[in-house]
Amino acid sequence: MAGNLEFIKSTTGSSVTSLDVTDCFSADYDVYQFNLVQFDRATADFAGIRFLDSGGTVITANEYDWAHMNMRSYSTFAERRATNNSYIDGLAYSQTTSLDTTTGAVWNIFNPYESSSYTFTKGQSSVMVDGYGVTAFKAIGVHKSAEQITGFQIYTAGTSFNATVKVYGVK
Amino acid sequence: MPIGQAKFGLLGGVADLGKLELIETQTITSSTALIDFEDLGTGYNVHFITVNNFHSATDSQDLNLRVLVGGSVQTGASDYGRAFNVNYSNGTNSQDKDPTLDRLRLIPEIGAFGREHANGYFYMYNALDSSKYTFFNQHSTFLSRDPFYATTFGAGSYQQSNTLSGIRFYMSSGNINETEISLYGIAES
Repeated sequence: MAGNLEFIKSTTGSSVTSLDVTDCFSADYDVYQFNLVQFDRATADFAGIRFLDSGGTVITANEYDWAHMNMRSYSTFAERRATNNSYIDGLAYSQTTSLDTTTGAVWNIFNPYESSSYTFTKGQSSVMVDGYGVTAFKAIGVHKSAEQITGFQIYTAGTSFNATVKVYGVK
Repeated sequence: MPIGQAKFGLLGGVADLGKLELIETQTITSSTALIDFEDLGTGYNVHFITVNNFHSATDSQDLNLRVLVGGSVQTGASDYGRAFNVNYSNGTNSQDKDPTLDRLRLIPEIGAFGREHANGYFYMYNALDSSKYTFFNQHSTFLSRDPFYATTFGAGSYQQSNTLSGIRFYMSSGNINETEISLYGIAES
Protein backbone atom coordinates (compact mmCIF):
# COMPACT_ATOMS: atom_id res chain seq x y z
CA MET A 1 0.00 0.00 0.00
CA ALA A 2 1.28 3.43 -0.81
CA GLY A 3 2.08 5.56 2.21
CA ASN A 4 0.90 9.06 2.94
CA LEU A 5 3.87 11.10 4.09
CA GLU A 6 7.11 9.23 3.51
CA PHE A 7 10.09 10.49 5.47
CA ILE A 8 13.08 11.45 3.32
CA LYS A 9 15.56 13.30 5.52
CA SER A 10 16.22 15.64 8.39
CA THR A 11 18.71 18.50 8.32
CA THR A 12 19.80 20.64 11.26
CA GLY A 13 21.99 23.71 11.26
CA SER A 14 23.47 25.46 14.28
CA SER A 15 24.83 29.02 13.99
CA VAL A 16 24.74 28.85 10.19
CA THR A 17 24.05 31.66 7.75
CA SER A 18 22.33 29.32 5.29
CA LEU A 19 21.20 25.70 5.49
CA ASP A 20 21.30 23.43 2.43
CA VAL A 21 18.89 20.51 2.37
CA THR A 22 20.57 18.43 -0.31
CA ASP A 23 19.39 15.50 -2.45
CA CYS A 24 15.90 15.41 -1.02
CA PHE A 25 14.03 15.51 -4.34
CA SER A 26 13.92 12.59 -6.76
CA ALA A 27 11.78 10.94 -9.40
CA ASP A 28 9.95 9.09 -6.61
CA TYR A 29 7.58 11.96 -5.79
CA ASP A 30 5.88 14.92 -7.49
CA VAL A 31 4.87 16.67 -4.27
CA TYR A 32 6.94 17.20 -1.13
CA GLN A 33 6.29 18.56 2.32
CA PHE A 34 8.85 20.01 4.62
CA ASN A 35 8.35 20.93 8.26
CA LEU A 36 10.42 23.66 9.84
CA VAL A 37 10.27 22.69 13.50
CA GLN A 38 12.83 25.15 14.75
CA PHE A 39 14.09 28.50 13.50
CA ASP A 40 15.68 31.07 15.77
CA ARG A 41 18.19 33.82 15.33
CA ALA A 42 19.50 36.78 17.29
CA THR A 43 18.91 39.41 14.60
CA ALA A 44 15.42 40.27 13.43
CA ASP A 45 14.76 39.24 9.85
CA PHE A 46 12.71 37.03 7.58
CA ALA A 47 13.89 33.68 6.30
CA GLY A 48 13.21 32.38 2.81
CA ILE A 49 14.15 29.55 0.51
CA ARG A 50 16.25 29.01 -2.61
CA PHE A 51 16.54 25.87 -4.68
CA LEU A 52 19.54 23.68 -5.52
CA ASP A 53 20.08 22.67 -9.14
CA SER A 54 20.91 19.19 -10.49
CA GLY A 55 24.52 19.64 -9.45
CA GLY A 56 23.58 20.69 -5.91
CA THR A 57 24.51 24.32 -6.50
CA VAL A 58 22.26 26.95 -4.96
CA ILE A 59 20.37 28.99 -7.57
CA THR A 60 20.94 32.66 -6.77
CA ALA A 61 19.72 34.13 -10.06
CA ASN A 62 16.72 36.48 -10.08
CA GLU A 63 14.37 33.68 -11.09
CA TYR A 64 11.91 33.66 -8.18
CA ASP A 65 8.49 35.28 -7.73
CA TRP A 66 6.80 35.24 -4.34
CA ALA A 67 3.99 36.76 -2.32
CA HIS A 68 2.83 36.39 1.22
CA MET A 69 0.40 37.80 3.71
CA ASN A 70 1.87 38.63 7.10
CA MET A 71 -0.94 38.33 9.65
CA ARG A 72 0.09 39.97 12.90
CA SER A 73 -1.89 39.53 16.08
CA TYR A 74 -0.65 42.91 17.29
CA SER A 75 -0.98 45.08 14.16
CA THR A 76 -2.60 45.50 10.76
CA PHE A 77 -1.90 42.67 8.34
CA ALA A 78 0.66 43.31 5.60
CA GLU A 79 1.06 42.00 2.06
CA ARG A 80 4.56 41.58 0.66
CA ARG A 81 5.59 40.43 -2.79
CA ALA A 82 8.38 40.46 -5.36
CA THR A 83 9.05 39.32 -8.90
CA ASN A 84 12.39 38.33 -10.43
CA ASN A 85 13.89 38.01 -6.99
CA SER A 86 16.90 35.98 -5.84
CA TYR A 87 14.91 34.00 -3.25
CA ILE A 88 11.38 33.19 -2.04
CA ASP A 89 10.50 35.05 1.13
CA GLY A 90 7.97 34.34 3.89
CA LEU A 91 9.17 31.08 5.39
CA ALA A 92 9.87 32.32 8.89
CA TYR A 93 10.88 35.20 11.09
CA SER A 94 12.78 35.44 14.33
CA GLN A 95 14.48 38.05 16.45
CA THR A 96 15.53 35.93 19.37
CA THR A 97 17.38 32.72 20.08
CA SER A 98 14.93 31.91 22.85
CA LEU A 99 13.68 28.39 22.21
CA ASP A 100 10.18 29.11 23.40
CA THR A 101 9.45 31.48 20.52
CA THR A 102 10.73 29.26 17.74
CA THR A 103 8.83 28.95 14.48
CA GLY A 104 6.51 26.21 13.25
CA ALA A 105 5.96 25.85 9.51
CA VAL A 106 4.70 23.38 6.91
CA TRP A 107 5.42 24.00 3.22
CA ASN A 108 4.80 22.03 0.04
CA ILE A 109 6.97 21.93 -3.06
CA PHE A 110 5.55 20.83 -6.41
CA ASN A 111 7.38 19.17 -9.33
CA PRO A 112 10.94 20.05 -8.31
CA TYR A 113 12.58 17.09 -10.01
CA GLU A 114 10.71 17.47 -13.32
CA SER A 115 13.18 19.20 -15.64
CA SER A 116 10.49 20.53 -17.97
CA SER A 117 8.49 22.28 -15.24
CA TYR A 118 8.85 25.31 -13.06
CA THR A 119 9.01 24.51 -9.33
CA PHE A 120 6.12 25.86 -7.28
CA THR A 121 5.76 26.14 -3.54
CA LYS A 122 3.22 27.22 -0.97
CA GLY A 123 3.29 27.25 2.77
CA GLN A 124 2.16 28.52 6.11
CA SER A 125 4.11 29.46 9.18
CA SER A 126 3.31 30.44 12.75
CA VAL A 127 5.94 32.50 14.56
CA MET A 128 6.26 34.55 17.71
CA VAL A 129 7.55 38.09 17.43
CA ASP A 130 9.14 38.47 20.81
CA GLY A 131 7.46 41.16 22.87
CA TYR A 132 4.55 41.60 20.43
CA GLY A 133 2.68 38.40 19.67
CA VAL A 134 1.99 35.58 17.27
CA THR A 135 2.26 36.16 13.53
CA ALA A 136 1.18 34.01 10.59
CA PHE A 137 2.62 33.81 7.11
CA LYS A 138 0.63 32.43 4.21
CA ALA A 139 2.99 32.31 1.27
CA ILE A 140 3.42 31.23 -2.34
CA GLY A 141 6.48 31.15 -4.56
CA VAL A 142 7.76 29.89 -7.89
CA HIS A 143 11.16 29.27 -9.45
CA LYS A 144 10.70 30.40 -13.05
CA SER A 145 13.23 28.20 -14.78
CA ALA A 146 12.40 24.78 -16.16
CA GLU A 147 15.18 22.66 -14.71
CA GLN A 148 15.74 19.76 -12.35
CA ILE A 149 15.83 20.76 -8.67
CA THR A 150 17.44 18.39 -6.19
CA GLY A 151 17.19 20.30 -2.92
CA PHE A 152 16.61 23.64 -1.27
CA GLN A 153 18.29 26.12 1.00
CA ILE A 154 16.99 27.98 4.04
CA TYR A 155 18.16 31.46 3.21
CA THR A 156 18.54 34.62 5.26
CA ALA A 157 20.24 37.94 4.73
CA GLY A 158 23.40 36.70 6.35
CA THR A 159 23.25 36.60 10.11
CA SER A 160 23.49 33.21 11.76
CA PHE A 161 20.53 31.09 12.78
CA ASN A 162 19.59 27.68 14.15
CA ALA A 163 17.12 25.53 12.25
CA THR A 164 15.80 22.00 11.86
CA VAL A 165 14.02 20.86 8.69
CA LYS A 166 12.24 17.54 8.05
CA VAL A 167 11.42 16.55 4.46
CA TYR A 168 8.72 14.13 3.32
CA GLY A 169 7.47 12.82 0.02
CA VAL A 170 3.70 12.90 -0.48
CA LYS A 171 2.19 9.73 -1.94
CA MET B 1 21.62 9.08 -2.72
CA PRO B 2 18.74 10.60 -0.73
CA ILE B 3 18.33 9.11 2.72
CA GLY B 4 14.84 7.92 1.85
CA GLN B 5 16.26 5.81 -0.98
CA ALA B 6 19.04 4.56 1.24
CA LYS B 7 16.50 3.44 3.84
CA PHE B 8 14.58 1.68 1.09
CA GLY B 9 17.67 -0.33 0.31
CA LEU B 10 18.59 -0.99 3.91
CA LEU B 11 15.16 -2.30 4.69
CA GLY B 12 15.34 -4.78 1.87
CA GLY B 13 12.70 -3.18 -0.31
CA VAL B 14 10.39 -1.97 2.45
CA ALA B 15 10.07 1.79 2.03
CA ASP B 16 9.85 4.11 5.04
CA LEU B 17 6.12 4.64 4.66
CA GLY B 18 3.25 6.06 6.60
CA LYS B 19 4.54 9.04 8.54
CA LEU B 20 1.09 10.59 8.96
CA GLU B 21 -0.03 8.53 11.92
CA LEU B 22 -3.64 8.59 13.14
CA ILE B 23 -3.79 9.06 16.91
CA GLU B 24 -7.55 9.34 17.37
CA THR B 25 -10.78 10.16 15.58
CA GLN B 26 -13.81 11.44 17.48
CA THR B 27 -17.20 11.31 15.81
CA ILE B 28 -19.98 13.46 17.25
CA THR B 29 -23.56 12.64 16.29
CA SER B 30 -25.51 14.34 19.09
CA SER B 31 -25.30 17.60 21.01
CA THR B 32 -21.93 17.76 22.79
CA ALA B 33 -20.30 20.59 24.73
CA LEU B 34 -16.64 19.52 24.72
CA ILE B 35 -14.45 17.39 22.49
CA ASP B 36 -11.26 16.49 24.33
CA PHE B 37 -8.26 14.73 22.86
CA GLU B 38 -6.34 13.52 25.90
CA ASP B 39 -3.65 11.57 24.09
CA LEU B 40 -1.30 13.45 21.77
CA GLY B 41 0.99 10.49 21.21
CA THR B 42 4.73 10.60 21.75
CA GLY B 43 7.66 11.93 19.78
CA TYR B 44 5.80 14.28 17.45
CA ASN B 45 6.93 17.85 16.77
CA VAL B 46 4.08 18.43 14.33
CA HIS B 47 0.46 17.32 14.63
CA PHE B 48 -2.16 17.51 11.89
CA ILE B 49 -5.86 17.89 12.71
CA THR B 50 -8.84 17.60 10.38
CA VAL B 51 -12.32 18.89 11.20
CA ASN B 52 -14.97 17.44 8.94
CA ASN B 53 -18.67 18.25 8.51
CA PHE B 54 -18.78 20.43 11.61
CA HIS B 55 -22.25 21.63 12.65
CA SER B 56 -22.85 24.05 15.50
CA ALA B 57 -26.03 23.80 17.57
CA THR B 58 -26.27 27.60 17.84
CA ASP B 59 -25.99 30.18 15.07
CA SER B 60 -23.10 32.64 14.85
CA GLN B 61 -20.81 30.89 17.32
CA ASP B 62 -17.06 30.31 17.14
CA LEU B 63 -15.26 27.00 17.23
CA ASN B 64 -12.61 27.51 19.91
CA LEU B 65 -9.65 25.54 21.18
CA ARG B 66 -7.88 25.39 24.50
CA VAL B 67 -4.97 23.20 25.50
CA LEU B 68 -4.64 20.82 28.42
CA VAL B 69 -1.53 20.63 30.60
CA GLY B 70 -1.37 17.76 33.06
CA GLY B 71 -5.02 17.15 32.28
CA SER B 72 -6.08 20.69 33.25
CA VAL B 73 -7.52 23.10 30.72
CA GLN B 74 -5.46 26.29 30.37
CA THR B 75 -7.51 29.48 30.69
CA GLY B 76 -5.02 32.24 31.56
CA ALA B 77 -5.99 35.68 30.26
CA SER B 78 -2.91 35.96 28.04
CA ASP B 79 -2.16 32.29 27.40
CA TYR B 80 -3.11 32.50 23.72
CA GLY B 81 -2.76 34.71 20.66
CA ARG B 82 -4.38 34.59 17.22
CA ALA B 83 -4.07 36.22 13.82
CA PHE B 84 -6.08 35.04 10.86
CA ASN B 85 -7.76 36.40 7.78
CA VAL B 86 -11.42 35.75 7.00
CA ASN B 87 -12.51 36.02 3.36
CA TYR B 88 -16.23 36.05 2.55
CA SER B 89 -17.81 35.23 -0.78
CA ASN B 90 -19.60 38.59 -0.83
CA GLY B 91 -16.22 40.23 -1.32
CA THR B 92 -15.51 41.39 2.20
CA ASN B 93 -12.70 40.21 4.40
CA SER B 94 -11.64 40.84 7.96
CA GLN B 95 -8.51 40.66 10.06
CA ASP B 96 -9.21 38.68 13.21
CA LYS B 97 -6.35 39.30 15.63
CA ASP B 98 -5.44 39.63 19.29
CA PRO B 99 -2.07 38.88 20.93
CA THR B 100 -3.45 38.12 24.41
CA LEU B 101 -6.42 35.83 24.84
CA ASP B 102 -7.75 33.11 27.09
CA ARG B 103 -8.60 30.83 24.14
CA LEU B 104 -7.94 30.24 20.47
CA ARG B 105 -10.66 31.02 17.96
CA LEU B 106 -10.37 28.57 15.09
CA ILE B 107 -13.46 29.28 12.97
CA PRO B 108 -15.58 32.41 13.60
CA GLU B 109 -19.35 32.94 13.53
CA ILE B 110 -20.35 29.66 11.97
CA GLY B 111 -23.91 29.32 10.73
CA ALA B 112 -26.15 26.70 12.29
CA PHE B 113 -29.10 26.37 9.95
CA GLY B 114 -29.65 23.53 7.50
CA ARG B 115 -26.40 22.68 5.76
CA GLU B 116 -24.38 25.56 7.25
CA HIS B 117 -21.36 23.46 8.15
CA ALA B 118 -17.63 24.00 8.50
CA ASN B 119 -14.56 22.04 7.47
CA GLY B 120 -10.90 22.68 8.11
CA TYR B 121 -7.44 21.48 8.91
CA PHE B 122 -4.85 22.64 11.39
CA TYR B 123 -1.18 22.13 12.10
CA MET B 124 0.05 22.16 15.70
CA TYR B 125 3.76 22.61 16.40
CA ASN B 126 5.86 21.74 19.46
CA ALA B 127 2.94 20.57 21.62
CA LEU B 128 5.08 17.92 23.27
CA ASP B 129 8.15 20.11 23.85
CA SER B 130 8.34 21.58 27.36
CA SER B 131 10.85 24.23 26.26
CA LYS B 132 8.74 25.79 23.49
CA TYR B 133 5.48 27.60 22.96
CA THR B 134 2.88 25.66 20.97
CA PHE B 135 1.98 27.17 17.60
CA PHE B 136 -0.91 26.54 15.23
CA ASN B 137 -1.71 27.18 11.59
CA GLN B 138 -5.35 27.05 10.60
CA HIS B 139 -7.33 26.74 7.39
CA SER B 140 -11.07 26.42 7.15
CA THR B 141 -13.98 26.71 4.77
CA PHE B 142 -17.49 27.26 6.08
CA LEU B 143 -20.89 28.89 5.71
CA SER B 144 -21.16 31.85 8.03
CA ARG B 145 -24.14 33.18 9.97
CA ASP B 146 -25.06 35.58 7.13
CA PRO B 147 -24.92 33.03 5.41
CA PHE B 148 -21.91 33.73 3.19
CA TYR B 149 -19.45 31.14 2.08
CA ALA B 150 -16.11 31.94 3.73
CA THR B 151 -12.58 30.79 4.38
CA THR B 152 -10.01 31.45 7.07
CA PHE B 153 -6.24 31.09 7.18
CA GLY B 154 -3.77 32.18 9.80
CA ALA B 155 -2.08 31.22 13.03
CA GLY B 156 -2.43 30.91 16.75
CA SER B 157 -0.23 30.31 19.75
CA TYR B 158 -0.32 28.89 23.24
CA GLN B 159 2.19 31.23 24.81
CA GLN B 160 3.53 29.12 27.64
CA SER B 161 6.43 26.68 27.55
CA ASN B 162 4.65 23.50 28.57
CA THR B 163 4.19 19.96 27.40
CA LEU B 164 0.57 19.58 26.41
CA SER B 165 -1.41 16.58 27.57
CA GLY B 166 -4.35 17.30 25.30
CA ILE B 167 -6.49 19.76 23.37
CA ARG B 168 -10.14 20.74 23.75
CA PHE B 169 -12.60 21.88 21.07
CA TYR B 170 -15.70 23.78 22.19
CA MET B 171 -18.10 26.51 21.10
CA SER B 172 -18.15 30.12 22.26
CA SER B 173 -21.75 29.40 23.24
CA GLY B 174 -23.89 26.33 22.83
CA ASN B 175 -22.96 22.85 21.73
CA ILE B 176 -21.57 20.91 18.79
CA ASN B 177 -24.24 18.90 17.01
CA GLU B 178 -22.15 16.96 14.55
CA THR B 179 -18.56 16.56 13.37
CA GLU B 180 -15.68 14.19 12.90
CA ILE B 181 -12.32 15.39 14.17
CA SER B 182 -9.14 13.43 13.56
CA LEU B 183 -5.78 13.98 15.23
CA TYR B 184 -2.61 12.80 13.49
CA GLY B 185 1.03 12.88 14.46
CA ILE B 186 3.66 13.41 11.79
CA ALA B 187 6.37 10.90 12.64
CA GLU B 188 10.03 11.87 12.35
CA SER B 189 8.89 15.48 12.61
